[in-house]
Amino acid sequence: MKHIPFLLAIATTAGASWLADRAVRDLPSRVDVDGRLLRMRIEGKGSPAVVLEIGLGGALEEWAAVQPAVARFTKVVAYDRLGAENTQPMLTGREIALELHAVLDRAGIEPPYVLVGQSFGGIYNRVFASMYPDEVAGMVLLDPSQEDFIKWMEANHPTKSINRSDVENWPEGAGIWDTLDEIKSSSPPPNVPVIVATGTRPSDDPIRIAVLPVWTQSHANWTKSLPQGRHVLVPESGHGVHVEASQRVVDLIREVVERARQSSPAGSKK
Amino acid sequence: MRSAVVALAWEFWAANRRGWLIVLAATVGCALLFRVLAEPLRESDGLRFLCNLPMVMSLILAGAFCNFTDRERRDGIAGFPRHLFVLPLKTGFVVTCAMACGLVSVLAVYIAWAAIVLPPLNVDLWVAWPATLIATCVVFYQAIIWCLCGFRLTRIVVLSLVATTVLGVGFLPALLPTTNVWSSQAVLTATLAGGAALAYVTTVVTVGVQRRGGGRGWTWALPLVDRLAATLVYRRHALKTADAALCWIEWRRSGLVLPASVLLTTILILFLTIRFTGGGAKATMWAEAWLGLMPILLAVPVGMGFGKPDFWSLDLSLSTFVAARPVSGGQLLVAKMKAAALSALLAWAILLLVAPLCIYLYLDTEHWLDAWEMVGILYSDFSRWALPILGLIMAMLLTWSFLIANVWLGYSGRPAFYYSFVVVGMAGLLAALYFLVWWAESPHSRDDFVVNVLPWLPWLLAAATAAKAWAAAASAHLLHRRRLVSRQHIAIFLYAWLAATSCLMYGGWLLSPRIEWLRDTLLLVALCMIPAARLAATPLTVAWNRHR
Repeated sequence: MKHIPFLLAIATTAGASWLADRAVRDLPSRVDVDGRLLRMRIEGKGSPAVVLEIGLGGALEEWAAVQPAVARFTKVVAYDRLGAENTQPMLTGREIALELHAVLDRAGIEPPYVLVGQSFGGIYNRVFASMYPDEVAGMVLLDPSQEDFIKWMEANHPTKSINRSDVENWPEGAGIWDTLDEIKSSSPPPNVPVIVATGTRPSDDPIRIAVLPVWTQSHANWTKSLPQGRHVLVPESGHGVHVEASQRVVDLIREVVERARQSSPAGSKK
Repeated sequence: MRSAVVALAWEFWAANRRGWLIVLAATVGCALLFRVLAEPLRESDGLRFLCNLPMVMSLILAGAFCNFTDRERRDGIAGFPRHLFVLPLKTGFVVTCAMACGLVSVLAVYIAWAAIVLPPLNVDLWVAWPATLIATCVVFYQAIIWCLCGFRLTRIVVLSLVATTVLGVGFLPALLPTTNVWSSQAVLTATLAGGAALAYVTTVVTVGVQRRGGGRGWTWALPLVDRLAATLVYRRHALKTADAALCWIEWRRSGLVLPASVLLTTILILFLTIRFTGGGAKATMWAEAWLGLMPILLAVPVGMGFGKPDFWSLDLSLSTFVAARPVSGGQLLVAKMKAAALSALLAWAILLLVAPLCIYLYLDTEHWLDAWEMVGILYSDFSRWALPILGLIMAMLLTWSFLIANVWLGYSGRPAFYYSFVVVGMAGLLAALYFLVWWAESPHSRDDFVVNVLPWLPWLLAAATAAKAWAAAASAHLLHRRRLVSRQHIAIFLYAWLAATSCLMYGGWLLSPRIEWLRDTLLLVALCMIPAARLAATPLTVAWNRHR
């Protein structure tokens, strides 16, 4: 009896150490890009590599339901800019694209890439594709922001549109309007498979009821302009398609990856 | 001293000398701190609001020090200090000096905060109207504690009624339309001044009667009040064991403090939300968050009193009655733990009975369905139901653990040791509140903080768990060797700790099924939550206290 408390203490210490070690090993790695440490999680093997771009201010953990499933059939990289030292007051789409390109290079992730972006991440994907058209093999945009829609919101629902004073203290937020200017002046996406998914789950919110048709139409119009574009409606999901309909997202990514493999010169996963 | 006024003022101040020094130090310290940190504090509305907390605590302390009564209570009565009756001074003069000292002290604290400490943060407090209310409260407070010194229960009821009334009067200028005569501060000030004058005159007369040997209670009323009080809660059957008797004593002395505090706070939060915010979705969610946190937050200060041998006494020594009982330190601890468990259960039962009904009837509840659907998307059907139930159990366990966390300190019987930890604990609670507000208001800084803390947080938690496990093992070994606690009690406590911790760990497991580092970190947090080392040390500190 007198040894039991000490045996329990040994067991507790060992258990706690094991948990701590496992937790720290599972943390995303930090990749240095000119003094900014970006978080990155790489899983799976194969080509093309899927690059997951989360929306404004999001964390790569939001891809927790998608990334492991995609890792079963190709390499998949999720990254975010949380905790990166803010060396400049504003980050535009071009700067983010340059940073992403550098971090993929540092991490040894070779092109081609299938870009997957949610919300404003879709705009960052489009800027990247216009800057590096030869490295992009496909895109899956999940309820992406559209510059025409943002303009429409500012004109018709100004109080519900993005408020500059709310975001100006934060580099990505401060760069939103410059990014929209960049996307207007950028070249169209390359001739690769592009799927745009719109979350159309009904809502009681009167603002969402009013804007959803315009939002959906903006996606449809943009997709029509692409030679290999496809517009998909996801009625079981709202704006968070990657969380609310994660299996559907995995299926869409698989479709684009397979089409990219069929059309690539190598034609097979590494 | 050459002047009677100076002598009486010194007497008033010396009765709580250390306390006044603490209030003064807190005021000066905060004045310097807020000046140094003025810029970052001005940027956050929430932090600026929280900077009022030290002022509120100072005012409460200062108000408590106005409890200028007998140090040695004879017949359980603590009224106007009887040793002052022998002075060759008129009763009116002595009462006026004592009351004036209280007034000047509390007003000085408020004016120092309003005019010197808080203005660098761009916090502009009214001075005149709050000062009027504070002065009225001090006069009424001292009048009640001196006049009703023979009626302890009546005194508490009257104090509560008067405090509520004065609080209500304080809000009248804001709530009533300007056409209403009672919305005028001048009219209300005159009314309050009249009431305070009446209270003062009553006090002088009553203390005068006490000085002449009377005023200790109305013999015809006291038995009647006792009979009425006895009908409310009364145990009619003898208790079978010493353990049951101890638990009953603990429950009767302090078991209702947390439930009563939770009830009052719940009513206050709901009233403020329904009356002043329009009951929209955002306001409702804020109210729900505070209501959910309230029992846990309140358990921290209540637990500091709960840890003492007697909740209502500043004395940390074991009473002769308890010290002479044929019970072990372990049994004393178990009585506290049981009373704390009942207290936590009752507090949560009150919250769950009152809050959901009021929210459903008066506030916006549409987000409940959205939240339920979102939980259904993120989790399996089993987790969807298990998580709220486990969350509730976890909250109750946390409340209970905060209630008993300081028992080992309270039973040590060493005031310096105990009160040092109390101060550290209150400072920790304040720091936690500041952190919560900063967390809510700074999403981007918050994310940076989390990311930078994550690599070492699991190891810190593991070290804390290991330290706790070894301290508990060492204490258990000592307890067994000195035969302070039986094997059976040690085993029961171990099983209870394992059950409670397993419940918390399972909740952490379900909460984060996919993000492994988060799941493992939650498991480590669960290992740290339920006290083990502190509870194991309690019988040792009881023995330390009992035999000195």
